[in-house]
Amino acid sequence: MFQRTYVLRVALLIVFSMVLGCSKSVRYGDPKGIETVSIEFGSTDLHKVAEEMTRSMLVSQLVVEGNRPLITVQDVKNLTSEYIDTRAITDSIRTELARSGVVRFVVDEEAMAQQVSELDRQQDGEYYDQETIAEKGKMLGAAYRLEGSIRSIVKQSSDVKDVYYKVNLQVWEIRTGILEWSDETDIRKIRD
Amino acid sequence: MCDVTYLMLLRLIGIFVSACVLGGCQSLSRYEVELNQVSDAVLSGQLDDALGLHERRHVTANQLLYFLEAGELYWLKGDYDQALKLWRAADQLVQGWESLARLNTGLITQDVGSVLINDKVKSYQGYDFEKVMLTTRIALTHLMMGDVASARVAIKSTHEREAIIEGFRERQALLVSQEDAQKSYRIEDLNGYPVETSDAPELSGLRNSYQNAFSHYLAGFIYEQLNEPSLSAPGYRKAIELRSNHPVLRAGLMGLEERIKRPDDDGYTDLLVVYEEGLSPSKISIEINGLLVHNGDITYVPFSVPAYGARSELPQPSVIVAGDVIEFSPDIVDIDLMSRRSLKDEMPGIITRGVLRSGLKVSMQSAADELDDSGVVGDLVALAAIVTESADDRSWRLLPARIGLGRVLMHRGAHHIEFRSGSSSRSMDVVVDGKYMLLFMRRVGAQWYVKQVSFD
Repeated sequence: MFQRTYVLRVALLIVFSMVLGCSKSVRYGDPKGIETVSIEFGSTDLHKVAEEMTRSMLVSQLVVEGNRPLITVQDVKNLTSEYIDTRAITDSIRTELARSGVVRFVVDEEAMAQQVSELDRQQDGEYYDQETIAEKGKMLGAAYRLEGSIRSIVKQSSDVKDVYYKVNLQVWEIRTGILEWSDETDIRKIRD
Repeated sequence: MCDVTYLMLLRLIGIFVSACVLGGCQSLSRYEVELNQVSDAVLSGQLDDALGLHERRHVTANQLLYFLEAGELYWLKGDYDQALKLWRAADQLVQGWESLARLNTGLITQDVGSVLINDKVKSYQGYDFEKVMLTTRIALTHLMMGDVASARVAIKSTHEREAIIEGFRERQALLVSQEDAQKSYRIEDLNGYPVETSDAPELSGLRNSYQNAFSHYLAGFIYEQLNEPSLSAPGYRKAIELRSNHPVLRAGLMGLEERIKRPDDDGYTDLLVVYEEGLSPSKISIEINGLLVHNGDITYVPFSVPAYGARSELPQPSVIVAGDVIEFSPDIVDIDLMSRRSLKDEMPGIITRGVLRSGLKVSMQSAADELDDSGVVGDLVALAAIVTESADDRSWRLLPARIGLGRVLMHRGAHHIEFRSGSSSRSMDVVVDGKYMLLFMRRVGAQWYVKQVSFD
């Protein structure tokens, strides 16, 4: 009996080892489908934040007035311990707003170096038609700046993990310092 | 005993003998002894000799360990291309483990050979902290080559790897807790085991065995250089969470916004000093008599388990830049401690396999005795069982024992920098340049290995 059990265990291990040889296939998924692979901030959260914030901004007084305000985008501060690329959030919001045509965006701090480099290249180069080159000193200053933050509260017990994210965005009028628009959205994910 | 069981045992004896032959040198040799000459050469600064000695082991060595150790030797030598090539090869093997870890729980730690012969027959998959250190090493190498974008790719894969390990270990822990109800073995159950070496109070201070503050701090440093504060901040924040009482780590997060806004041409360089010391600890194999209780039968079965020696105290190092001692934290990562924690975490599995293996060897010997009246076959099986019983002492030995960090904003230009560690010291004149700079220093024995790179 004693020996038989060991023999069976070893046989089971051999079977398990063979099972491990199986591989999985690759398939395409819906980019906007609900992703629940892990509890970390993921594509579904990104879409949710971008869509809700864009919808909110599109009905705000800032946009409804119809004068296509000039906005510059600043960083959304990541105040969590998770590696969340918040530029993906602001990029999505900017794309949606730009697509709607109700606001315009000017070069932000991140892209400024490339903008200046391109201006310099056109000015310094002898290869361009002087009538078509972009003049220096014609860039428009933004009237508003978009910024925000993402925070999280993480609670964990031996078998449950609860993560709460709060994303807050604001649009400030640069000249006056007035807060023109602000909204927030929250996400709660539980893994058990 | 029925004929079928006899037949199966006979086959097992056949498999056992075959496995002994096939497992051969690797299953019988001691890794520490194998690597002794290599580590001695490193300690005396003879890196070419160390590489030559290590190269000779290539045929018999485990592939992953070979790549890990060889990469470290080339890295110390300053041959970054070759180090990257070897570590990428190691990374491919670890990615194979990751594919299985995404699908399975405890199964990938099982291996038929480890139940029949010893744990060294098990393919070496690397400890979790070694897997994390591997991509960190790759990121560091890209940085030393001045390629920050590639360093970003490598450090990002470190986060992904940590997530895979976390998920895998959580599923495994769940499995173990279910098994607990039946009965699982603990290190405390072993009579004669040096429990104190795996039960240091600092062990409980580690959140887990695989995450280290240096990897996350380095992530913060890399993202900061690429002007990505939303990714840099969590890197510094995670480093603080993992090692909370280190001013250098706190300053990394607190000064982030100010550093990001600092103009490129202000005449200052943000100097990050990475200081590594020693070699990761080696394991020994000790023989234990485990108590096997099965269906009411009590049997004492001898088997081998790995253990670490007592922790050796390393001297408190200091870094003096232009005559001033800079803020420096010498033990941001304590690999010695992480190794002990890893072993402690793996011990229940090691003991279970050891008891199972010893029981199986006892069964095979009894069957052989019954089949062969002369007792010759039984004696041979018993001899093979004793000779092959040895604990798995493999690990990435050329990793440092600990990693420290210092960071200081310096005027660009030539500066005198001195490192002191115990009675040993190394001083040098360094031209500090670029918006950021990385100064790497590794002390192994009396040898100092120095590297530096500037970033605009």
